[in-house]
Amino acid sequence: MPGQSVDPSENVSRFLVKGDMRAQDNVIKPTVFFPSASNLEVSVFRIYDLSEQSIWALAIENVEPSRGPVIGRGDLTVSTIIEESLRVTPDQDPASRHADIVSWPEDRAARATIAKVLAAKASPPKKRELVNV
Amino acid sequence: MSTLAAHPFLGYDFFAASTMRSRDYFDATNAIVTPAVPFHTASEQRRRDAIDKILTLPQQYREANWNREGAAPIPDAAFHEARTFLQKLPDTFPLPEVTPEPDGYLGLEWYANKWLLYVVSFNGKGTLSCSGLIGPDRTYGTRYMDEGIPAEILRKIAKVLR
Repeated sequence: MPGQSVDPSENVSRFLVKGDMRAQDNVIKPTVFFPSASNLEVSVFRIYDLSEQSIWALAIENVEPSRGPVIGRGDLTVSTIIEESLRVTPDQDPASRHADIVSWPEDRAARATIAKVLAAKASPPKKRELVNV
Repeated sequence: MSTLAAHPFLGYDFFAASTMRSRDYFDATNAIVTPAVPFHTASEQRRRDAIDKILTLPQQYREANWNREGAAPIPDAAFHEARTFLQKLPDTFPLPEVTPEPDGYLGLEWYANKWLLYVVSFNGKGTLSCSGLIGPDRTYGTRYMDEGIPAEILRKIAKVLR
């Protein structure tokens, strides 16, 4: 079970739905890591100590009800996110495994550039094999 | 209605020709006529059609929460700005991919690979939000479009296409 604080060596997953990957080269689109203007947060899940099957189960339970079928995921170490001067803030209940990438810069164009870097570093995505779940 | 007719002095009357613009023509009474709606060459029209086609996105992107994660709607004005931008883009540049962005911007993306891409984004308020990765270099900033596309933007797109 992950702790209350997020360790830089931890991995987090951003779950992907239809349209989040480029068909031609299997790269995650930058918009996947682009925060909405309303809250400047990107939702991720902490996958510390989880099996592949458990990671996809997390997506089925928490992401699919609102966003539709999950087709893959982009994994990043927390340290990669911190390198961009961002933070990963976990939910109060660590059992939820949910966290947000926060502390995005005020400058919209700077945010867009960071989103491109995170998408590049999270690529290629891990594709979900439906038989596993 | 005016009809297009061959003018007997066309090509010789330099004074008359000097007052004409490239798309004016003579009617049957030899009066200069300026078309109310500009017409385009076949290649210009193909380009315009292609621009219209890539800017035709499903209605869902004009509505809030289109990504089911709180995305802002893309305003009609953003589509209009993107169209104007693309119409001013030299036709030696390939058309980009159009990308709705969660904060309500409409992005025009030139993409070579994950480390070589450039996006110009519009939100309908007159600014160009530009961002890209050119190999190890990051480039971003806000620009404005006056008479034409800023040369810096054209240079960045060209670097992606090189």
